[in-house]
Amino acid sequence: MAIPQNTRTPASMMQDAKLLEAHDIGRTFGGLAALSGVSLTINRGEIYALIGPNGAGKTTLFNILTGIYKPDSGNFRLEGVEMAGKKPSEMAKSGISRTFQNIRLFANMSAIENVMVGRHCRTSGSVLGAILGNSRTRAEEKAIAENAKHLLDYVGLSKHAHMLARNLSYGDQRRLEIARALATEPKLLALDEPAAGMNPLETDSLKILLETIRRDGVTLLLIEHDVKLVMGICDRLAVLNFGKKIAEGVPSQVCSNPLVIEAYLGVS
Amino acid sequence: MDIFLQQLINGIVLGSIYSLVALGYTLVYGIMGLINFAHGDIVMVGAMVTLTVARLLSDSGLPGPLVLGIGMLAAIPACMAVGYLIERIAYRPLRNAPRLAPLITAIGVSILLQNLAMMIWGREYLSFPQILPTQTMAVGGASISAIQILIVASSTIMMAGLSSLIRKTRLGNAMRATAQNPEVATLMGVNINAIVSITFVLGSALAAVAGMMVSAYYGIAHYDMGFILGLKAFTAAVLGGIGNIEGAMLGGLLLGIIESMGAGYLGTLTGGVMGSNYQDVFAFFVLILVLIFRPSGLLGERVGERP
Amino acid sequence: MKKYLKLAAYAALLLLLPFATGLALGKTWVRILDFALLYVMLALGLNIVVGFAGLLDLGYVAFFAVGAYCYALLASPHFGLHLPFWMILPIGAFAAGIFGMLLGAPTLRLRGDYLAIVTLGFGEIIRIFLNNLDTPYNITGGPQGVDLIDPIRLGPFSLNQPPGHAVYSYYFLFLLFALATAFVSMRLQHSRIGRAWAAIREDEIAAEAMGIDTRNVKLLAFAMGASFGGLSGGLFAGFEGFVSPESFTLTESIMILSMVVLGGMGHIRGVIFGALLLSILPEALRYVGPLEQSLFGKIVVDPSSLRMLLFGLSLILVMLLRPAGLWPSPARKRELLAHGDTAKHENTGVYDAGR
Repeated sequence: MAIPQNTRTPASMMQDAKLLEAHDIGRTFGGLAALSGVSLTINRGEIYALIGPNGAGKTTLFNILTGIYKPDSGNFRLEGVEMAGKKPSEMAKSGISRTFQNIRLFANMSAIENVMVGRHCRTSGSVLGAILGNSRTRAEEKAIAENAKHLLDYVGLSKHAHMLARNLSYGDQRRLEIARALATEPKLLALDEPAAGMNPLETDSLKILLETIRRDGVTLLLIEHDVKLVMGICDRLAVLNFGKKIAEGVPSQVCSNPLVIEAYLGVS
Repeated sequence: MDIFLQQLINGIVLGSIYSLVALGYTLVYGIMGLINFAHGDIVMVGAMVTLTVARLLSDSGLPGPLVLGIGMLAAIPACMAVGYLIERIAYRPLRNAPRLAPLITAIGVSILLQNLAMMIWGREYLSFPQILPTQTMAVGGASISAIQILIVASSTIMMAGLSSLIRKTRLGNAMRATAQNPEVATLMGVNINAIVSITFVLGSALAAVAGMMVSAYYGIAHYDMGFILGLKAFTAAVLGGIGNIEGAMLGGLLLGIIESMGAGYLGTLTGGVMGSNYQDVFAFFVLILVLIFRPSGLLGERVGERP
Repeated sequence: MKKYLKLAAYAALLLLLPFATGLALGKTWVRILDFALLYVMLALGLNIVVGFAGLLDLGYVAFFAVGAYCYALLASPHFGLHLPFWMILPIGAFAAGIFGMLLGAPTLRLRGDYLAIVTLGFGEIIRIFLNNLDTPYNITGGPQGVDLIDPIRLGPFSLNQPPGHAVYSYYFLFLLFALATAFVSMRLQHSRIGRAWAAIREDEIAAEAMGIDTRNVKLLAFAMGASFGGLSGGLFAGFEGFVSPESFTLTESIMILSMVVLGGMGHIRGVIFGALLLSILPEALRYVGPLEQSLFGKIVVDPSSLRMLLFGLSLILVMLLRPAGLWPSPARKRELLAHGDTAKHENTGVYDAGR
């Protein structure tokens, strides 16, 4: 799992520092512009946050980046590959994986099975292989199970591996969703309000987990309402308001931006 | 005789019946997001009850249209009761269950109704007594019978009534609110359970009238007549855009005309290879084509995609 | 060691069952056993679609029909073709699978209800075609169907020989196929594909987000289930010696669905149990007619409608009272306790927001 990333030379870092580049993304719903002209860049290995008041277009942008909506205009590239308009499953295959704000686990499957499902797009076992049970298929199954076990361990759920997902505690369900998303080997892990509904204790341990994931080489994108969590954890962030990006930068910069203060406090 | 005009007239008559039944599917679907597989069988119950009453009164000397009216007045409450019971017993307890569950009970209810009907009315085709005048009116080379006029007129009235009920009354408001968002509607003081019940009962009443029409028009009734009829009416609802009231009316009319025209011309078009015995196939192909090319239907706004 | 003993006991039971049945109850009941095994295959096939992937198929018998007519047309005097069964069975299974895909393709990106209604329609349509494709060219034999179908032959041995013992030889053939079907089902369930099916059944949007091409995987379930049906159809045609549209009514589809639902959707042992129960139990209803005759002096309730009535009731009651079936899998049993949550999941579809 651990992918040490500080071994890179500065030159190569310059080369592919940009993981995701979105350019001029727009989307309207029934004539209303939910998003217009949003461009942003997410660098490799950073934690990038997307914040904004309700209805600012965060979720729309998130849904575009994860393939649920097609953008009406603009495009975005992951490592230079055009992604706009791909299906969610293709997004996952290309390296963008996600979690859901209102947790969507496979409720009646065990924790480990949930993670094993995440391995689907990185494995190739066919119907014929499954029926014949040939050595290749068996080896792959074993690898899937081991990988899943490892990931459960990674998020601290190994002792609940065989519990049904629905019976896990709320915080554990969030962690399981992250483990499942990691199983797809994402380059970019997109988290939709990961701290929603968590108590301060759970939020703290989530923060540690997210930092570990980042340290191990996965870039993170998060939408979050909990501004304190965002400011404490992210490297850079963008602020959306009325479907437009009004600020982007490191937390300290963004905090002092008058436009942001205005958007949040409603001063005109 | 003008075949085109004649088939058009037949199509409109058939279409009016489809529209009435399609409305039942669309109403329930709009409110609950559920296909009521048993709806076609409620039509059958309506047909059976009307037919039974008509048989009882056929020698009474009462005028035909009155007998039909009495039959309908018996069929409507019977179907309403059946619709109400179905919702209460088979669907309501499963409102929060996985999607598959109500679909399976729905099909169970359909089978149950058919076989209960078979027990009550037997497995033979029952013929409708000859109580309506059979003479026809000539219109530009085609002919129209009294029952045809009656069907088109009464279904138009019923649909107009339903439209204004939904647009202009408090009940209609509550129904539309429930269709939009049940949770919010509850918060606004709408009694969801009552609305769902009323929707079923309303749809069943339309089904009763449709049943009366079908049995009087074709002159027969049979315990499994609701199956194909239901399938076609569902197709009509999808064609118009399921969940959309005007869509159901338009879809029914269109499907009726397509079917009549198809049955009228298929033999000639295919050089006699396919005859009118393929009439029942049209609806199915229409359904498939709509699902491929325009799953939201002609008037549908919300695409019925995904759960 | 104990495991092997148990296995040997089961094997002995299955091997001796037809002979014991034949001695005790007569050959009619051995024939009923043969059919029960066919139904096991059909129920397991439908279980892949309904139980594993959670897609409701209401016209499953159509695939059975495709397999049966494939066999009938390729091994009978109707076209003068007499291909061997080991060639026709795969052809029938393949053809049924293709039909399954064609049918599923337009509906699988829509809600499950559409699939249900399209399959329901298809089940009827295929019967209309079978009934009418005798003109202008006689392809299906129309309402009379096709008869004088070749029996299944293993090398030089016809399973119809010696005369009068066919029910026994077909029992063993069907047993073999039923066991193979169960084995394949089991292997599929615990595979990468089986997990993908389960994921789709649980939450399609999450499954798609995890990189599962839900459309293809659903199509695969549909094709697999259909091909099981096609295979059983071929065996049925060889066994019966004739096929006609009458054998492929909606009633049959509902019966197979009832077996899956009653036994326990997704649970292989439960489904087998359901198939055996519903194929053998209604046969006992044949004694109801004479019983009514002697009790009331006339037939009050037609036994065949009583049978259907029971199927309809069983579908409703099982869904209301025991949605995981009479013999649920251990995992599904737990799910019973709180299945309300999944529904809530499904209703809050992000897709509803405006695609």
